[in-house]
Amino acid sequence: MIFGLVALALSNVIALSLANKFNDVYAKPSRIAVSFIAPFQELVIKSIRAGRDVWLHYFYLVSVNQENDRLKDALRHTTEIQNRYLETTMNNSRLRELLKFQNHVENRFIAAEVIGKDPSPWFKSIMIDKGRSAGMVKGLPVVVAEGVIGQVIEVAGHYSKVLLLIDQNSAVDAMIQKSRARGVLKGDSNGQCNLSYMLRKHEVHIGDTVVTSGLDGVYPKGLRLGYVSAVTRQHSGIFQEISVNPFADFEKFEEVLVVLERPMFSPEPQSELPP
Amino acid sequence: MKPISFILFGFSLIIFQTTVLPFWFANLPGCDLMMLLVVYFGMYHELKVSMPTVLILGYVIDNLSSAPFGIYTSVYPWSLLIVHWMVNILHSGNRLLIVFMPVVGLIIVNALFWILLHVAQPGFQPPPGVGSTIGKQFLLTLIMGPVIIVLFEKIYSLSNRWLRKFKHRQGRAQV
Repeated sequence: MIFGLVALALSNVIALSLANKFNDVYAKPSRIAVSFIAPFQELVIKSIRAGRDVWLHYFYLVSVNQENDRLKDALRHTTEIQNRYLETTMNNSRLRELLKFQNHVENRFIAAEVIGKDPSPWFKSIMIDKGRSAGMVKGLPVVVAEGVIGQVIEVAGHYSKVLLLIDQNSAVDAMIQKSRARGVLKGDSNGQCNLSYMLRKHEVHIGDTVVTSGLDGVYPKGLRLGYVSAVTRQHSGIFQEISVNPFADFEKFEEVLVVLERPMFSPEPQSELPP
Repeated sequence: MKPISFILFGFSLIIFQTTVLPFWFANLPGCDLMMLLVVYFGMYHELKVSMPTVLILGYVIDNLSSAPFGIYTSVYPWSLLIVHWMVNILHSGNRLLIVFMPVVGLIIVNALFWILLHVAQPGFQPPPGVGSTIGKQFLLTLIMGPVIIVLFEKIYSLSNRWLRKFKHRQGRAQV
C-alpha cells in the first residue's frame, strides 16, 4: 500500500515536470475544456452585467449615470490621446537627431469582453470572448485605454486566455518615458510590478511614466504600462530596484482591446541606388 | 449518476468562482471553493466516486488557470486522499470535524501546491504578499469554510430528495 502510494507520487512528480516541458502536447485537450466551460462563463457574466446595467441605467439615477459614463469615456479617450501626443512629440524630436531605424507599427485592434478570471489565487490571467475565429493567435498584446494589461497565452476556437501584466510569469521590455532608460517590467502577482535590470546610472524618479519599448517583439512601442512608485538604490550592485504601479485597474476592466499585429522592425533604411 | 451530478456541481462552482465572485467581491483574498469541495468529498463521500470527479475538476482548473499545467490535477486528488485518510482516523461522526477540516484542507492544499509548483516551475519565487494572502485565506476559511461545507451537504441531500421524488412519480406514472 505504502509502496504503491510512493510510486504514484513519484510518477505524479515526473508527469508534472514533463507536462510543463512538453506543454504543446496538452494544448488540444485544454482547448476542449476551455471551449466547454467558457460559454457558461460568458453566459453567467453577461447575465450579471445585464442585470447590473438594468439596475444602474434604468432604475437608478438614469441621467446622472449616463453622463458619468460619457465623461469617464471622454476622460479615458483624452488620457490616451495625451499620451500618444507626448509620445509622438518625444519620438519626433529624437528621430530628427538620432534615429537610424524605422519602427513600423500598424495597429489593428479587436474589442473583446472579459468573461472569467483565473481560478487560482496565485496566478493572474483572464478569459476573453474572442478566439481563433476572430483572428487571435498566441502572443498578441492586450490593452485597455489606461494602458497595457497583458498578452494572449492560449487560444481556443472562440475564447482566449490572457496572461496579465501583474502575473509573476509576465515580463515586458519597458522604458522610462522621459529618460528612455530601459528595463524589464515583471509582475509580482500582488497587483504591482517591478522594473528589473535598470542600471544605477539612470536617473529614475517617483511618478515617472513607464512605457513599452517595443523591443520584445510583442508590444508596440510607447504603450503606457504604469508609473514609478518607489526607487531603491542599494550600496552595491549595478542595478536599482524600481516598483511600478500599473495604470490599468486589474480588478475592474470588463472590455479589452487586442492588438492584432505585433511590432515589426526594419533595418536601417538603405540609400537608394542610382538607376 | 452520482459522479455526473458531482462533476456538474463542480463545474457550476468553477464558473461561480471565476465569474460571480470576482464580479461582486473583487478583493476577496484567494477564495478557493474547489478546495472546500475536495474537503467535503473527503468527509462525506467514498473515494471511488469523488476521486474521478476531483481529477476532472482539477484538469478543468488547470486549463482555465495560467498556473503550470497539471498542478491542480495533482494537488486536489492528493488532498482528497489525505483528507479522507484523516477523517477515517479521526472518526467522521465527530461534528467538530466540520469546524476544523476546512482549515486543515487549506493547509494541505497550499502545502502541496507550493511543493508541486517548485517541481513544475523550479525558478518560481513566492510573490511578496504570499504570507498576508495565506493569512487572509486562513481567516476566511475558518469563518466561511464550515458554513459552505454544511451548504454543500444540504444541497446534496436536497437534490437527492428531489431525485427520489422524481423517480417515484415516474414509477407511478408508468404503473
